[in-house]
Amino acid sequence: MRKISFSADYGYSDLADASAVDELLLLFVDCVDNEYCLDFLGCFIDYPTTSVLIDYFISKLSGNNRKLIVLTDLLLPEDILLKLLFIGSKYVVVEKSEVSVVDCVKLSSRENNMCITVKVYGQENNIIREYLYG
Amino acid sequence: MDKDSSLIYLFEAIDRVIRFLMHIQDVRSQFYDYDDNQAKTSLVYIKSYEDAVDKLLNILVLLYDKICGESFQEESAYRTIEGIIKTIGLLHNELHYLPRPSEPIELKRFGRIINKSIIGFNDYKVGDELAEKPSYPIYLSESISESAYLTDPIQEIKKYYINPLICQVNGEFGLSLDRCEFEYVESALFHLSIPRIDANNPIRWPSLIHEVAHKLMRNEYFKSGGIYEDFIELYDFSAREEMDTMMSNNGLTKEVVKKWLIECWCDLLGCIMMGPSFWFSQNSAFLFGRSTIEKKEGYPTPYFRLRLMNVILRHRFGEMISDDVVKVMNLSMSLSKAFELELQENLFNNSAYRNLFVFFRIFFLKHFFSVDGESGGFLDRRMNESIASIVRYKNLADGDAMNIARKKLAKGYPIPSIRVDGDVFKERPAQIQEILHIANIYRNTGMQEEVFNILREEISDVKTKLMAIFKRFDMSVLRSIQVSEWFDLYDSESKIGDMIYDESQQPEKGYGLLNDNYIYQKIKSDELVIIPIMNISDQLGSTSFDIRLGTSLQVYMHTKYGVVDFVSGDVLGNSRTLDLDYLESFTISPSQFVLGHSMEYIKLPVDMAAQVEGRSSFARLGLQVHMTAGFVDPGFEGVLTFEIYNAGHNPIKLYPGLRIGQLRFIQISEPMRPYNRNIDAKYGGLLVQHESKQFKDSEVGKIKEKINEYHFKCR
Repeated sequence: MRKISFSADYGYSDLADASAVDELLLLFVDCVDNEYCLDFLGCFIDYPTTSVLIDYFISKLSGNNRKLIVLTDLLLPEDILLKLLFIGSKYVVVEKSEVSVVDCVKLSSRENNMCITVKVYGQENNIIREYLYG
Repeated sequence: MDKDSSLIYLFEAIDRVIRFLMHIQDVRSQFYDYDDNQAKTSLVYIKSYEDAVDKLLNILVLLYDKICGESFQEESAYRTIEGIIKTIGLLHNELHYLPRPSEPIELKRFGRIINKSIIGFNDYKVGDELAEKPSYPIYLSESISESAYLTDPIQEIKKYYINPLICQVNGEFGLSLDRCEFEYVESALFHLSIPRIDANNPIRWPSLIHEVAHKLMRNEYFKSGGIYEDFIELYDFSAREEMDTMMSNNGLTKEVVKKWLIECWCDLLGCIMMGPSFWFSQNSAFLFGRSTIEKKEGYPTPYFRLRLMNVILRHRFGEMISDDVVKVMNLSMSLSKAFELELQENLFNNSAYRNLFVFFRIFFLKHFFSVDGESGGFLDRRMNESIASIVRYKNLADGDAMNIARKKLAKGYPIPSIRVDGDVFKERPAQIQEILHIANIYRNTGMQEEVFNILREEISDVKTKLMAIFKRFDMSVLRSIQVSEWFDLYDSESKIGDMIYDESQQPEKGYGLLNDNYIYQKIKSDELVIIPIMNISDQLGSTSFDIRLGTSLQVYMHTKYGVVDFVSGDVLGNSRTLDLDYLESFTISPSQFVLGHSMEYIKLPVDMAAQVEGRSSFARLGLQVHMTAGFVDPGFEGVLTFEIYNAGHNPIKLYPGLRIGQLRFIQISEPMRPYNRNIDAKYGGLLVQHESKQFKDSEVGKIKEKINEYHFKCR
């Protein structure tokens, strides 16, 4: 598994800045793995840049047992958190009016043959919530 | 702070310094440009301000070299620039020693926008009573930031001095003057102020909407009876307890969050009304406020606010926020970001702030636009037809058209109109929000580059050149705002589509007087520039193009010395400029002579000359539009000056926009020295009429020299 801590390891804390995200992605051009852990702790995230980032790593997932883990410290209700992370994504489409956001993510995970986990951290650096899709 | 951010900060400081100098120049020209002793004494005082600000400019020029050099020290550069901005603030506070120049007429236009926005709130109340909507005047002030005043500035004097005097008179003389006592009336006294140095700087005006929004906000705009109550409903979910703990551990109490919500609501209403120009205006206000006012406790940080505004802008004005614009905004915001990072607790290292930001984001999108598909977002419920007309530019905004307009502004052209896409030539009036948006983007790109190019030059020329750039920018934007409002009035469906223009029928060079087909093709291809063209089918005749009266007039009086003498310079100061506001007119008396200008800004190609003529309908009233100076040289650029004379027996009311003249175009072979390449050209590129500059003719200089020589010998 490849864990990428954008703020702690790479010093990129403003992931709402499109030019910073473009710059950041260049560091991972050669990456290929079946499991990525995207650590957004300490990062300022917003759409559409977050989904650009996530899509990039989904496109880099290889093999059969494909996993994407997202770490965040945003205490949002599940559906809102998923929208913030995935809105605009090519792979995880969350804007289907007839299906709930949670079901959308589950469906997309299955379609893309991957498992998505979202872990929410509290201020004490403890996991206070964990969602599993796919 | 990196090099790029330092350069942006430097540019902002230069803006402050140059605007201060321009303001001093305005004071000088409005009050002291005449020859007497009082003026000379006052000029010494004015010079003291100039000397102080000149020094600051010199420091900035030197600093530019340092920032661009290899030994760049970010901390020292940052502190110096901050010190300069702070000093300008202090000097600005002391400007009350100098008379205030008059406000530009365009500020009234902006006031109208604000007042329209109040009309949009159709249930305006004072206390529990429905009230007549007030008109909010805008004044200049010595304060360096935009302000809203809710009270009468002399309220204290009325209460503590005048009222006791009335009581005293009642008691001692047995009179009954009770009714004369002053009472405090809030609604009638609200007014706005902008810094004196920004009187002619329209890109700072949108911030005023924030102050107005404070005044407009009402609890009943929120479903649960208040903004905070609506907000907490949003995060009423399983993590509520954790959120509450997180917030209170970080000082985000109910009172603080409520205050933040109110500030952000006012920002976001400003964004909705004014579009991206509000964002830029607030960004500047935050930068200058940071150095000149104490840090405001309990307010969201500028970066928090700018980011939130960004969300709303992207949601509502996607068309206007192209990748280029995002780049400019991010660069402009990099300073606020650097300031944010300096804080011990900031949006990046504190998850409570980040959580709050996301909740604000969701709350406001829902509140204003009802993004979850529920009906009854604030805009639906509150904004009636009037306000819809203010924000209609949202539907018109076109990124490509704006880019074209930005290029025009970079050339110094005004931008009161936007060309409508299509095969047939058509323009529409630019909305004030579009004009300001284009101006902001140009200011943060092309204009910044121009300024830095000048900083690389010799220091003796820097001040004059920088002032010329800023002055041209202001003038172009102000004229655009003014003319676009008239265009709005005259806007109608053009019938040009019904007329047949044969593109293959172009005359050979040297053909002489040009016909409508040829003129149309030249306009369409941008070889002949005429800005704006309000209604081409009305204006284009078989061999002519009608031009309209502009908004400014030069009204002549008798000279102080009773004679026009270019050699002694007595010709100067014998006229006054009259700027007409929307729907205002000027009455020209019989035998009166005034200068006016065409509403159209014109640029002739180098192989085309033009002849200004009157129109028969006006000639029949005795109105002449030129006095033997009707020829326009090839390559000329600027507005055309009308020398207007009323030869009739009755006064005539002149309204801007009336088609009082016409141009005939003549194709010629290209001259060796067209007007735009003539270094002695006196009237090129003007945006309004100008008095005679005959004193600049070489003959005048020679006569003057001889006279001086003669007097010297006689002594």
